[in-house]
Amino acid sequence: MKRSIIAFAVICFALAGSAFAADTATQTVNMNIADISVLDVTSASITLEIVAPGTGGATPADDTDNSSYAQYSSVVGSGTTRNLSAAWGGSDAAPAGCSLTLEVGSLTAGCGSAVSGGVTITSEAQNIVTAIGTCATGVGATDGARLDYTLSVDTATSLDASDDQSATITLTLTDAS
Amino acid sequence: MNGKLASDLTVYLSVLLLSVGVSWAISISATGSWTEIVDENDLAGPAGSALNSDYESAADQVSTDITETTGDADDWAVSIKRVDTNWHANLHLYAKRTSDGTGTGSISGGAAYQEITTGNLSFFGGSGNRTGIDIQQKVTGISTQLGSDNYSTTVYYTVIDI
Repeated sequence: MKRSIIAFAVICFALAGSAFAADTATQTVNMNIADISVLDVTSASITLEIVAPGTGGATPADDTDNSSYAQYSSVVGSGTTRNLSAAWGGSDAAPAGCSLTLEVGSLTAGCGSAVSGGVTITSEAQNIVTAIGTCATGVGATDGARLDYTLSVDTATSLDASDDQSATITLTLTDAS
Repeated sequence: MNGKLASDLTVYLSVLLLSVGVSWAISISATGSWTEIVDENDLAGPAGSALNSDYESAADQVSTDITETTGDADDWAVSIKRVDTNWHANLHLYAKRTSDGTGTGSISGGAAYQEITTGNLSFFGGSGNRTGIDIQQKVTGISTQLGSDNYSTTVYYTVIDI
């Protein structure tokens, strides 16, 4: 009887030393991804010019430029989107008889939706790309939103050969309201 | 031996057993959490770039102590897992042991990064009391596919006396 009790105790002793000897410690890891809105344009300036038509009596043709791209990195929270808008300063204007339009001609997939038909540039910001979520357009020469500018002749009789206008177009990424 | 003696001996041994269970309870502690802020400074390049994918903590981000062993011959093993609070399937968390700590026992394993999953996996092992065992962590899978948010998980370090 005594031996069996001692044997039992030894077994329990061994089990106690193993089965119950464990402990756990914890530590937290947080990856906090912030909102990110970074925008750039590949060309600092472009020039549009209304020139004489090839045929006498014809209306001078519109001029276009599609050499520049808006490239952006956008990180937003769930359910949030951004818009890319364009405007020029309050004192900026197109040459007499002309208007300036901007349309996004091509856009990196997954980086929003181009506004169909584009916009006529004014001092009021107008969206040219909407529904921009979390994305990166890429930084290649033809990545991003291609900016198709058109200087249109609206009223040929108002054209002034000495009228040179310089305007600063501001592109802005803003949270959609 | 009569019945009373046997009963007394059983009680005595039971008390001894309970006291052994308490005094031999190996212990682990972990000091240090890791918070990484990912913002525009972590873009891989200019506007239009994606975010860098990989982020690494300091080499001594977490310091662990293993104590209350019975001595240098007392072997133990540490396993690791994570329990997610708000984690993204694209994110992968890794850990490695960057120091041996101090102690007269031994320590081995865990020197290379291994992924921390939601299931317990063996991390490193050793014997005897060991303090100041540093652990470094790494997260991969950050991208502009993830929206802005605080992705959080808790890492569990479990030591088992073997």
